[in-house]
Amino acid sequence: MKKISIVIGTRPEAIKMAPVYISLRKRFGNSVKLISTGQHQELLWLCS
Amino acid sequence: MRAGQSLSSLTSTLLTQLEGCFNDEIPDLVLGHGDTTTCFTTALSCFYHRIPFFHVEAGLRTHLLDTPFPEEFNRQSIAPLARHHFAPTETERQNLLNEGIGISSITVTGSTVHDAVDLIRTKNSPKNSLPFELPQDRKIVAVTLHRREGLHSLENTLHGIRLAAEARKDALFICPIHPNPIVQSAFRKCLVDLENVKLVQALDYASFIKLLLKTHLVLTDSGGVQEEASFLGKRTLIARTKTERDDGIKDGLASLVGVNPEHIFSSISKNLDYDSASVCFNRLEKRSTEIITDYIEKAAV
Repeated sequence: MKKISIVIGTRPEAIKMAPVYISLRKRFGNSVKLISTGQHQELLWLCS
Repeated sequence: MRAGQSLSSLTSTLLTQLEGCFNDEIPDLVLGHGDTTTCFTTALSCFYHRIPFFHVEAGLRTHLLDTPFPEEFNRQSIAPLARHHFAPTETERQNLLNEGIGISSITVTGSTVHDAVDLIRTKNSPKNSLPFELPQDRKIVAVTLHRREGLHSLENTLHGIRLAAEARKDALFICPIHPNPIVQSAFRKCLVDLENVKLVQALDYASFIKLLLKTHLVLTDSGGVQEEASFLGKRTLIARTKTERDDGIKDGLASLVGVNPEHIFSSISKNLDYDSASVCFNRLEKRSTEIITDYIEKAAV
């Protein structure tokens, strides 16, 4: 299985990559990882 | 990003952090999105580590290196580093081709924000509600302003909103405010005393989409909001002089109104008199996330 990492750091990235992450997880399972750089810490929690 | 952190220190911090991640485990491929410093440093770090980098929302351009700053530089710098480019529309594909990117390294996908909005619209969770009531008898105008290069013109834009709010008591202006203290204080100073302006904290995404669904008109300086609002078929005024996105503009739903107070006032007033736009969703046959996932499944890395 391909090891895939998605890197996000801001709210817009989190929002727009969320459906990509969900779709990749469905196809590739646990080999898909999400990395958050915390560029906008104050905004990332809003997407949780 | 810590308060007051410079772009240089953010860039070096992110590069160091990413190196740590990639030293722990080398992925077969990495995906990043858009034009942030995170995306730029991720593409660069992948290049240093010889990891194929796949760029989502590739190919947006103003062709002015410092507008928006530093995002246009980030976009232009990510392109030569990326193994594959997922372009939202034909326009972005053409931008990449013009820069010499190979035709087989680009896939047109549509915007993943449409899938994000659909996820919210179809999800019925209690989080999916607004933290305040909206009146039925007033036209709702949603306002979001926060751009870094737009801060100096923020006061002008706010003044235009003030003129509109004073003249149009049939409208209620809802302003979720970015946490940036400069933005917060500018909004308070200009608008806090007006009865038909509601200053609220930044909303979570689900609530914000719900607000958009109930609005008559959107005033924003955010390209992302422009995309979301036009996908939902909402009239949108873009308080900027230039935008790199076509969303809504070609359908006549969105227009650039600049940052002149009088012009913003007259544009708001004119659009309040139009009927609500009819909701028309621009849909591709296949979801963008599905196109991306299918491509990644087939990609040899």
